[in-house]
Amino acid sequence: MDETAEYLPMFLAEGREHLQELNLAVVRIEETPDDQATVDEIFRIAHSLKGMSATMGFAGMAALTHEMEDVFELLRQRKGGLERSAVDVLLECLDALEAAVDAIESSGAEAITPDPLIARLRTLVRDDEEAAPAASAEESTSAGVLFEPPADLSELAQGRRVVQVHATLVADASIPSVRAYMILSTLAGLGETLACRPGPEEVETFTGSDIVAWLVSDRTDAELAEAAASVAEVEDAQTSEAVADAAIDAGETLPEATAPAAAEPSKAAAPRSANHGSSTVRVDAERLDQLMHAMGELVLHRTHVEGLAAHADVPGLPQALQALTRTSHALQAMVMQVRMIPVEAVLLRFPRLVRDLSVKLSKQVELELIGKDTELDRSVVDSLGDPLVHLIRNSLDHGLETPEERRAAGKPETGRLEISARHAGGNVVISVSDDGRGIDPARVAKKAVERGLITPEAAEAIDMARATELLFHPGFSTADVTSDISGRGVGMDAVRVAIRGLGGEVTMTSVQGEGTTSEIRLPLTLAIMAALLVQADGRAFAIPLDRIERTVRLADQTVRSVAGRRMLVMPDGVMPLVCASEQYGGSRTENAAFGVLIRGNGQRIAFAVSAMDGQRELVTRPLPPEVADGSALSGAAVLSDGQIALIVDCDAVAEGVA
Amino acid sequence: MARVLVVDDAAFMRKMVSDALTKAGHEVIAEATNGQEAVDQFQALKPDLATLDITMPEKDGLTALGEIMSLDPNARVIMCSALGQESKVMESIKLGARDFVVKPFKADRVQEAVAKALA
Repeated sequence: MDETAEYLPMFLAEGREHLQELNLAVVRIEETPDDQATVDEIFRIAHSLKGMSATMGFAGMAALTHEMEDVFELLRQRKGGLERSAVDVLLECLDALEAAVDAIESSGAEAITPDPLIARLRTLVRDDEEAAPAASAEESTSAGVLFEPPADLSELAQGRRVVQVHATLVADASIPSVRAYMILSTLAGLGETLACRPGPEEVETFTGSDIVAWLVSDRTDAELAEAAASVAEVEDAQTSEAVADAAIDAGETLPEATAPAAAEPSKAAAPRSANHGSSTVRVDAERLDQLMHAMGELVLHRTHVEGLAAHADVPGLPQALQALTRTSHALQAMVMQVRMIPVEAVLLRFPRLVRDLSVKLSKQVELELIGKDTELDRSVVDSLGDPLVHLIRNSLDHGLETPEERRAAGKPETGRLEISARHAGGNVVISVSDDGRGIDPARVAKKAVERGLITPEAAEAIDMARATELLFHPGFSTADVTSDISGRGVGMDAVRVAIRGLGGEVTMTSVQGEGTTSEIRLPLTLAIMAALLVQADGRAFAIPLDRIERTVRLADQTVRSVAGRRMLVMPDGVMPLVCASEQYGGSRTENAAFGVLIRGNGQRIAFAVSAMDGQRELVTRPLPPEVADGSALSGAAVLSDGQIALIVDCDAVAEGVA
Repeated sequence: MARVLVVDDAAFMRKMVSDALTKAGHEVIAEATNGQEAVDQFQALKPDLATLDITMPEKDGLTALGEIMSLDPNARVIMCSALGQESKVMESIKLGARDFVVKPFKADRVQEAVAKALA
């Protein structure tokens, strides 16, 4: 295993890719059984995976993929596609392989028991084999190799000297039949083969290790032995005289028939071309993170130098700094770009998931993936899987109806689930939509009353917006676990927490009877954030720029007190005025000079701060959970002067005043 | 030492073959990921030797081998096969491939095949 250790990361990455492709292909083949291109693709990928696993010494994976390949090979020739039972077995095999890859990554051992699956795969093809027994008659016909020359050898020799060349293959020779063919055709190129074992008819099925040829040649015995030994995996080659010379005259050798010509090595050194094949490089994700980290440090130092330069009077310094800034911006953009991967990486898990769930729930679903090429920071993509899985489970379990219900409602029996990704400004928006029954506000209200989340009076007046908001409440879905699909005691609040952890937000809209759409909005990248630096009570805070609508001088505005809460009255609306100092544990300051209008949790609020220090690019760091929980902070950043700025979690602040 | 073109659809296998060849002092001048690329690269670069995977997308190794051999009847090509491809390997040898290796292969087996094909 030591010899292969350096290839392990590559094996894991490429193995996972192959497994995902296989999952997609198998689901596709279930939908369109006659898709020959997909069957070929499955066969090819299984084959690649087999070669890789075997090379790495993962015998269990290799054995299983080998068997899968056999099944696919048979299916390739069979018409009518796969039965569901076959698809199920294949998908189970893929699950086992995925588990094996995971186990290899975590423990180095594949932890797979392929035999039960192999047995099941074999039952899939048994019928075919019984139907067509002639297809694979691989009985060895050359078990006992005869070294006795054929009886008519002297006759064939016509008085010429006949040499017996006997080549022995190494014990573990790869494909003896091909080796035999290579040896015999090499010898045929050097003389006239009068007879051979295996004979011309037996070569293709040869499985032994001894190859003998009797030939007439004008080459020396040593040359013939050397020629036979030049074939790879030949352990030994011996010559002996089978029939002695009858006359001195060597006679004419007949032109050889089938053997390929022994090519002269042509050393026509061709001009070198710089055209190299592969133009992509695989990079360890960790290195990308390190690169990003170093880039972040660079931005920090640059900002520091800029700060110092503002007070220095060095000729040429501003120009030099400008150049530095330009280059570092370009570099930063490139690093960001390198970290971007298509959201496809996570979306491609879903056809399989949707397929499994729809089978389990006896529902018919057509899944459409839109915008797979949309790119996102890889750290975001990695964390997006679980929340999306939850939304999809919800749609299939609660949203989409059974075929009967859909027919009764005048809808097509097959429901639609659409997962789309697109760029919108500095964000990526990912939505999960179904055309199911939609959310029933009354039912949500009833449950919320049972949970003690709202009063019966509030339930009377519930509307769709309030109902969807209730679904995200931590107390809403934790109690009764009704199904093993979307239940499990985790509700939409878990989705929201996860998405907020990524600096994004999730909202839900629904039309009763027509369907539900959940929308996740995420920043393009997490590690470097453009923010407005502000001061409150002598402390520094950073507000994400993409959440800021604008800033106002509070002295110019009207602030009213409504039901004990301060509200900022703007020409285009009234919004809560939140004192930043008070929000973060300080006292309320009446002398806050500025209001920063931010968007959070779908509403506008004004954040009152005492000073604004301008825009910065900040390298964000997560806060330890014990600090972050319930703090309405999403992280922290070190400023160029070493001071720490806390990053305002706009959604949490807005929630606090909702 | 020889200038080699390495052809395999799996990056992992390309790397293993390339590393084995580089360790034996050969120069991997290019890599190709399918049969068509293989033929194009072979024509453009005229390598001393090519290793050719059999099962590949778009154009498989056997078809590519046939085209390479018609471009250059003296081309030195070593097939990279897997278990269960006996008949394809046989066909490739008949088409003119110099040797074959069967995955999983050891580096020394690849090196031996290349050395013998170049001899």
